[in-house]
Amino acid sequence: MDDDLVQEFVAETADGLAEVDGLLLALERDPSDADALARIFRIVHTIKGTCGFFGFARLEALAHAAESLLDPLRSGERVLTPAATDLLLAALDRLRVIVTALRDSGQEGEESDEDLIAQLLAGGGSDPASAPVPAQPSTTGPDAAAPAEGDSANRADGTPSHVRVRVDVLESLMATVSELVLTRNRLTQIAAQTGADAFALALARLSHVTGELQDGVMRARMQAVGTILHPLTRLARDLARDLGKPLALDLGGEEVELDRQVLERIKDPLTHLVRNAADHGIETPQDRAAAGKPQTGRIRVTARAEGGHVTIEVADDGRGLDLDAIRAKALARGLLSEAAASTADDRQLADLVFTPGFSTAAAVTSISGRGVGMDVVRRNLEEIGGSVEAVSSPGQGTRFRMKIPLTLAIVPALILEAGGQRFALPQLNVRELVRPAGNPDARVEDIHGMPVLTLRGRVHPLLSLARRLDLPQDGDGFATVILVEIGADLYGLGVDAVLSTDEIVVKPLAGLLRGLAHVSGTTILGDGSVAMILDAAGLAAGLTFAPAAPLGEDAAPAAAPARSYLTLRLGAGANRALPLDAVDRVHQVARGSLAMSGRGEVADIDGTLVPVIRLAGAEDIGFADHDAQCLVLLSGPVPAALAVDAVLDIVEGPPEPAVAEGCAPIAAVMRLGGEAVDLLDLAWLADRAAARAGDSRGPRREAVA
Amino acid sequence: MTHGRKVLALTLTAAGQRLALPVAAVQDVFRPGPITPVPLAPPGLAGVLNLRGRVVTAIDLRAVLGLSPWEAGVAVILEAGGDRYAILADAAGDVVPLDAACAQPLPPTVGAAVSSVASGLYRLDEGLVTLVDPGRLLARLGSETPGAAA
Repeated sequence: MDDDLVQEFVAETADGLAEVDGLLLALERDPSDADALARIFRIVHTIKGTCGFFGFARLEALAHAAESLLDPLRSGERVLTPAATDLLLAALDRLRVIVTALRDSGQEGEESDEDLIAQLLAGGGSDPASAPVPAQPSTTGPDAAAPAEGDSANRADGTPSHVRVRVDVLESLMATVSELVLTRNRLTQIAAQTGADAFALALARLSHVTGELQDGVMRARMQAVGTILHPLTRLARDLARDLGKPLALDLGGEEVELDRQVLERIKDPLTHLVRNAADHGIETPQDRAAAGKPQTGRIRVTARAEGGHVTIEVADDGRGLDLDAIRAKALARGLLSEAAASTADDRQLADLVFTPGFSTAAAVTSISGRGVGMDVVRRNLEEIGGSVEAVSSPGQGTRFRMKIPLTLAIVPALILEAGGQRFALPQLNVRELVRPAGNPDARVEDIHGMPVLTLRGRVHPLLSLARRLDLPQDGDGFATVILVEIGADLYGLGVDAVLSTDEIVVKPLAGLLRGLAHVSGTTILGDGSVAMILDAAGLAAGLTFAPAAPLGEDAAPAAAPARSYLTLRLGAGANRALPLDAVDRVHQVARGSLAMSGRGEVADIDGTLVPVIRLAGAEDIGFADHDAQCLVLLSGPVPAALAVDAVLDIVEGPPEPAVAEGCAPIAAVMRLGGEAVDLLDLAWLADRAAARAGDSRGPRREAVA
Repeated sequence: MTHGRKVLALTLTAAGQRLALPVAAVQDVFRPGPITPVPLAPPGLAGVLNLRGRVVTAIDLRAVLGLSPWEAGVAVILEAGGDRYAILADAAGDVVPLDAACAQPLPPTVGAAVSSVASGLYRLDEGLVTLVDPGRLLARLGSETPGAAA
């Protein structure tokens, strides 16, 4: 038999079964949902029909039996009971087992389904599995099923709008795009070094097209988070039965998209968090009643897209973490000293649940509480560059918040230098850059021989990258400090210089290097050399994090006034920002309002010719086919306009971001609205404007004439 | 490529020592470009380098054999467990047939650094050559790296 056909059948059937799972539970909540029932019937019927074609007798018999149970429901003769739902779910599980066997071996397997089939067939007859319809007329007639016949994946004219693409084809496409990105980075660097103007235009175009291709392939790899959230409904139902606690699971943000590789990696941590919430978070119905809460415990799983990453939160309305028990246990285990235990704040105590072997469950259950799990959840997330933190409100519930990168293949990163070597640090972990020298808000100090960073009155642990990695070190190793974020913790990482921000292609480590905690991968830089990608969590191993509360009298972060920034899209890479006070106004470019003068591009803005400044990488995004582009008029002494792809937003940010050296036109990397952006260097822009003001004198006279 | 019990081997020199790798394991031989050291890796792991867009992990034979590392003149590419490794040596020589029947045991006086990676000693016209077993080489480096899975 044609193997490809079988594999396609397997994939379609698996999708169908997953959908039925969700529909069945929806139907259980609302038994009058005729659309759901019709859809279930149709999927099961399709599976049965296709099996017949392939001669998969076992699948066919089971699907037929399930259909027999569904038929009287659809015709309105009977309504769905919890017992019938259980039976159908069991049938779905069995179908899944067979489909998995088909996928792996091409065989259905030899087990007998007689018991299940007998029950399903009986369920359609006199068995109390399904109760007779109550007297009132039902809306669940066959006619009600008709509207569901149209498949959402097909357009009205019947042309499919989706095609199934093999995962390995997508993977190899992604690998090819990654190579293209590397080559583009390399060419850009060569062009910058040699100043070969002849290539500049074509290169900028290549750069732009590469960026679009990269976006496109990434989007093709994206899947809605719903694909891993929906099975949780089923999990919650099973848990409610096993634990004897009524549970309701609410989902939110199912449409948020993530790279499928990332989805694969967070499935287990997510499942564990829901199990944990059901088992430990939610109280018994008796305890809930005593606490004046509704008997049904609620677990809410919400996904949210935030800048360059996604957060998924698992929140329950249970008892919250017992921080005193955690404190006592940490003390007994020697995880906290007497002094540390008495000063530890709630956040630090809550964080201890991620310590390997730490479990406060009074009774070990089959669901969780064996002390394995939460540490694995954290480790799994850190392996993909994400993080997880716990926030607990006693009596109100616990929230676990996971921060997840959008993709593992190409990530924005800082390229930095320490001990004479270059490294990449993913921007997901970068909160802020600080230059302690001459900065009254940031001080590097020594406490009992340990360096610390005091930033705006808050003390953070600090380490020198060169010293941590045993590299030769000039100076104190804190010329620039990166405030690194892992979960709720912040620490300072001292480096010699921050060189640039880049989209880096992540290459996994070879087996021999995988055990090293401080590196997570490698990447090829623009000049062709290889740089190690730092693992923010691995580097911090052994650091103790101080309470998040500000210390001392000089703690006055709130006193610093916020500053407004205009965020822009400009070529590939991270978004850019300009302080709002450096912007005069924003001007939409109309077709034909730009002209090349003898020595550069000028824009006709209200009758005045203004020199146009472009940043490298945006050189040629031809105005002819990009009508919607904007010019940002700068409020400097010399009139000048910066060409950008789009103006995005006005965001409040810290007043004085630290400045990274030597990478004009970027002055700094800062966090605005939850996203790392490049702050453009005003001095560099002013220089360019001044240089161009001389250039455009010629055309300006023409315009006056 | 073996005839009878002969095994074809690529000869290498490292710090004056004559070594050989089975040709069957060798994918490529090239002159290494700049190598990026991997901080805190065991001494035998010289770093990572870019081989036509693929990142390969470089193993310094001199360091493995307990000799002082020096700038490598040649890199021999092996593949193991889906990963590529570049074995660094001073120079590559000829491909020679080694007759398994003529293998001699390593004298007990050579250190563990050599005996832990060698699969035998052979006499060629130019002198004795030590055949290095790539599997044992990677296994030993794996045992020196925390948590490695070669």
